[in-house]
Amino acid sequence: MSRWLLALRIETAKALASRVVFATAVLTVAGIAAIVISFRAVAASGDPQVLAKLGEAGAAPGWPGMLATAMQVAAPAFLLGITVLHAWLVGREFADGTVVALYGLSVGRGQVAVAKFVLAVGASAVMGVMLAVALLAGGLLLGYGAPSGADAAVLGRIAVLAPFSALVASPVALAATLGRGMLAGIATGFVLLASAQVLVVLGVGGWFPLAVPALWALSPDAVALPAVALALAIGVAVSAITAVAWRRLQLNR
Amino acid sequence: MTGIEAARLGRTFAGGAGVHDIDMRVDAGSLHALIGLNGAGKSTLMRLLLGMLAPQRGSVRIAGHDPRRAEAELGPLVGHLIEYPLAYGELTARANLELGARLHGVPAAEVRTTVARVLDELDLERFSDVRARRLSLGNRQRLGLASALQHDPRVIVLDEPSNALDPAGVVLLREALVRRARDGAAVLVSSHHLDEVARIADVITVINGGRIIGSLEPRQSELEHAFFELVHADDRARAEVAA
Repeated sequence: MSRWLLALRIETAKALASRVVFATAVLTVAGIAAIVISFRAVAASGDPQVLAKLGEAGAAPGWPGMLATAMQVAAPAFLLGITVLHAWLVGREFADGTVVALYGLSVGRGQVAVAKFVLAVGASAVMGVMLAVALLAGGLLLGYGAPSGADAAVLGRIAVLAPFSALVASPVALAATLGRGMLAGIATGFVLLASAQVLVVLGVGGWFPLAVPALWALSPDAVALPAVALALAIGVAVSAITAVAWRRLQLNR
Repeated sequence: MTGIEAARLGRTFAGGAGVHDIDMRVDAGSLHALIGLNGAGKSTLMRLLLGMLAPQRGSVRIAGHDPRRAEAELGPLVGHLIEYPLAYGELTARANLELGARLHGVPAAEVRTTVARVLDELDLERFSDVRARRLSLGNRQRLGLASALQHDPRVIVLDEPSNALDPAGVVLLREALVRRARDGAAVLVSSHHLDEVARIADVITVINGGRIIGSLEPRQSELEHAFFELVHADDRARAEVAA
């Protein structure tokens, strides 16, 4: 088995045993699904205040309204859950003191860092599929019938939104590395989320990597392909920088 | 073969603390004790030897490699326990050891027997299915030692290995280290006092204020007295230089 695969296998075993990854995924998906389905149930009653909050797209009946609401809720909520994943996977080694034991091994620390990144993206992909399935079940329960091809495509983009967001959220792992703990990563995640929201509201978020996944999921045609490529490239590059930081890591503080 | 070789090794932190001009050699087949009071620089020196810190001056070779440059080569060759063991709280003692064995390059087919052997050697079998976070401090220390020793490394570096161990644990540790040194391993252990492990060393090096200030003959009488004589003489010499 290659060292890369061994690192991934060991990181996966640690993550499965700790239940943090599982709990984060389930709580994030359950939270998003509960908000969306409850909004739809209340919107069905015709409450004008709720309809005003949902906006024109969200207030639409059936699948289009539900998926528009889901997009609004899922983008920031996924980013919060993914922040926890990245920050915990990296920061726990410092918080638990186990980083000391990651020297002098057959698997390099850079490989460990890459395995953590791949694991976070993989867990996020599962999270995305879980939400898409939960929304599908919710829509069927609310009596919307089978989704049309266009609605199914939106469900598919919601599933992809999570791993896409995990790829571009790699600065969280870098911050947890440089800050030697989870809190630095979590704080960075919040700053990135707030920045994305502000830039999108100002209408200049189209090229901000953290905003690109949500804008793409909302309307793929409205986002330039180079912006998507740039967001992915920056996410991977920051992950590579994190691996180098782990490779050169000194326990000097 | 030389297990560890440090030449003119130094690293100074802000404020002046650190280690300075360390020349040290731990040969294969020898058990070497590094003794110094709290803050003498033992842990900093061990971190430099293992590549956890980069030296500002001098050089280090461990098992023939520069620890800051070596990638996976050191895995099978080195075992260490510096402050925290390779033990994740959510995994059982056995799972932690299996993980440690793989990370030290033990082939998958040999992991089970390797772990069973060390569980028996350090009397951890009855705790093998207990999660590490539920183990007592002493048993967590045994687990960390087991993880450091199970792959029979050629170089062993242990910082205060008898910490939290009960007398039975100290005896098991002493026997495990003597056995490995006899089989050719280079063993370096640190302690802030002349404990049971330090007393069985072939060589005792004394460190004070970040510098090696001398050595003690392990079989000599009044060992403790000789240790304090060395340390106090060094402290007086420093005070005179400072004045």
